[in-house]
Amino acid sequence: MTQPIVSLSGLCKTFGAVRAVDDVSFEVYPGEIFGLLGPNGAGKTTTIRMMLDIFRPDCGEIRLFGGPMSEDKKHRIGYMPEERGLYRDQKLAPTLEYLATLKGLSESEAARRLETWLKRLDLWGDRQKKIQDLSRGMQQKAQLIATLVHEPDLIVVDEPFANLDPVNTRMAIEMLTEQAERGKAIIMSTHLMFQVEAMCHRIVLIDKGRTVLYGTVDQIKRDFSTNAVLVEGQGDFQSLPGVLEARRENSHWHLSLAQGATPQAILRALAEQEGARIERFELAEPSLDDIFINVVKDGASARNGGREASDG
Amino acid sequence: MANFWRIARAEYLRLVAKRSFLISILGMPLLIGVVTAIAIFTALPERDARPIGYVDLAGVMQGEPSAAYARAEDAPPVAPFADEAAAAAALEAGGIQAYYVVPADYLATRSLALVTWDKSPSSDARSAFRDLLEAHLAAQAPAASQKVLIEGVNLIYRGANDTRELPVEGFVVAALLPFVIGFFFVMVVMSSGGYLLQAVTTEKENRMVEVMMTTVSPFTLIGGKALGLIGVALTQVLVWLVTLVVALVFVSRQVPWLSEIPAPWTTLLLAAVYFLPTYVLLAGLMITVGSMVTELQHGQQIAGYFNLLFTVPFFFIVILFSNPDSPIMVLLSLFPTTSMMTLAMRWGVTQVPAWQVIVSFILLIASAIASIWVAAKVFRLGMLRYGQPLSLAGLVNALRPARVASGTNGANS
Repeated sequence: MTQPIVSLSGLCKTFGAVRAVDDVSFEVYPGEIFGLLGPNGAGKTTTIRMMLDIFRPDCGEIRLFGGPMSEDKKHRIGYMPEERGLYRDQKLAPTLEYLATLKGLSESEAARRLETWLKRLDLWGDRQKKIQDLSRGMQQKAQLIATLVHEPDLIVVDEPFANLDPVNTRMAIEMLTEQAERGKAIIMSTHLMFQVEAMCHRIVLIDKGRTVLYGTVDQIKRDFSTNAVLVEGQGDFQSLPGVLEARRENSHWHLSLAQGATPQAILRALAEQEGARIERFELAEPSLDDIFINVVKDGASARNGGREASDG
Repeated sequence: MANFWRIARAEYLRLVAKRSFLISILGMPLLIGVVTAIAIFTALPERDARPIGYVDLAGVMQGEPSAAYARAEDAPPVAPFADEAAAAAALEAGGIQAYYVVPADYLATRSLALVTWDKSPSSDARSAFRDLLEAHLAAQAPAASQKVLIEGVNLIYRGANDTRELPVEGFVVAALLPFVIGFFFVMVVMSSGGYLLQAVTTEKENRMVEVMMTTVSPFTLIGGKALGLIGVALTQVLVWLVTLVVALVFVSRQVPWLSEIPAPWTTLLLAAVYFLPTYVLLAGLMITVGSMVTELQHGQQIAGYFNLLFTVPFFFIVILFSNPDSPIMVLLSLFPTTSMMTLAMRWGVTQVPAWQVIVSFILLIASAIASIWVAAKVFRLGMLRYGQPLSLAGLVNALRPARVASGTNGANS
């Protein structure tokens, strides 16, 4: 079995009276894009900082590349934090070269790789400009280069698509996907759920410092799916056997199925219906966005309920 | 270790390329140049080749002067006049700078009269007359004593329990040099304070802290930065010293007596040995301040108080000269932030016991290392607090030993 690149077990961290991270555990494997999700203040950044030896955990175990963090292992990590920037009064190319050499590249190798990256991200013509003279999007691309230029085995990106326009967002997605295909492990923290759905293989959802969801995106969506199908086309969808309720939603119908009714049986019934024309038929899985909101809302309700109960 | 040097080099190059650095590094030589020019300009009118005259009514300057007497090179001639009328005529005609009258009762009263026209004679001319008068007086003494009478004694102060000697010749320079060193050091402290603060606040302001901390250890980052800044300070001092030496060489060609003063090498050596650890201590303190604050301006206000810690010996100059071995001076000699300047200043005016030098140096080295250690610790915690300063309680927490996490968290290095 493949050894995880990151393994966190029972991690916790307290700041004063606030339990920022409480018993968080997950593993990240080579070649996967792993989504680290959670609402603002959930403990995502604290978890990342502990994982990367910026903070020290109060309890728990952190294993990177099969063991504890070391100075050499830092060269195998590319990190683009949420609070990020570059030396604003410095020129772009020398700054990136400096950061690349700190990550263990020779100056010549750093220069060679940077030429490729800068050309790919359309920054080659701006390499001698001061960073403060670049747009925020350009700075973001430069930060992405600084994260990837030394070809790290573990890439941690916090909100990697902030400040990027759609074209550059697509380019960034391609770059990260490409890295995953090359066997690199990627941990991505973002609020853009559709990006997570599109890119991530597995996710962990943290709320108020605790793990509330952990698994593959497909499995989680299945776990949260109701017994329902979405149908788009023409026909009588309200009187189908096994359909409890048919609800029109924009261009499609949402059919809630009765206990024991299967989507296959509904599809068969539709196919046998005279005059029916089916343009789309799919299982009604909730989006990650819905799951995220429901889980976080449920968590808040449970906490409030508990508080009210205890207050009462 | 390679990253340590890389960070040091980057920090050095980043700072020396700054316009403010160029202004500060060139400002001092410019100041020295201006002062030198003024000194030469004011000294030049003193150079008057005309003779200085004398009228010897006492008869002490008759005959030949002592054989030990040698007229100084470039000294104006000393011309005798038979009477005051002749001397006055020569003075009025501009043939002489001035003339002395040695009264008949000179040996009893030791009083001389100096007659000038519109300005005083040059110091060279006065010295030339005084030397000749002494040579004539010495000629009346036994031959063996004449050289001593003319050249004076070479007095050396030596402490009872110390082998170091304090030369009387050049004593003024030996006593004043530490002040020059102190002045340079204060200039370095004042100008470096800003750079040292910037070195850390720039990481915070540019949001580079987390990237750097996942690249190198805090000690490598802080140590590298401190080394780069020491390089900047040394460059600054070197440029200033070279300028000073060039200025001194230039001035001493115009003012010959300057070249005869022996250089107080031990004071210079002491200052050189103490400079580096003192600067490291300053760097550690400034980096700690920089890590705790959110804005450079706030840091500069606090740094001002730390600067005082290094310059406080200047406030005790009166005690230094009146009682250089007083308890307060000993205390300042031992205290790490003040030891360099206090010892350098005392070195010129008293015998500093060896134990004080040894103890102060040990304390200084220990403080310098501790300051960098504290700086790295505080940097680790304080630099991630975007927008909020690190409190004193937070500082104490940062310095506490790490709590041991359950499990085998290798991150706790």
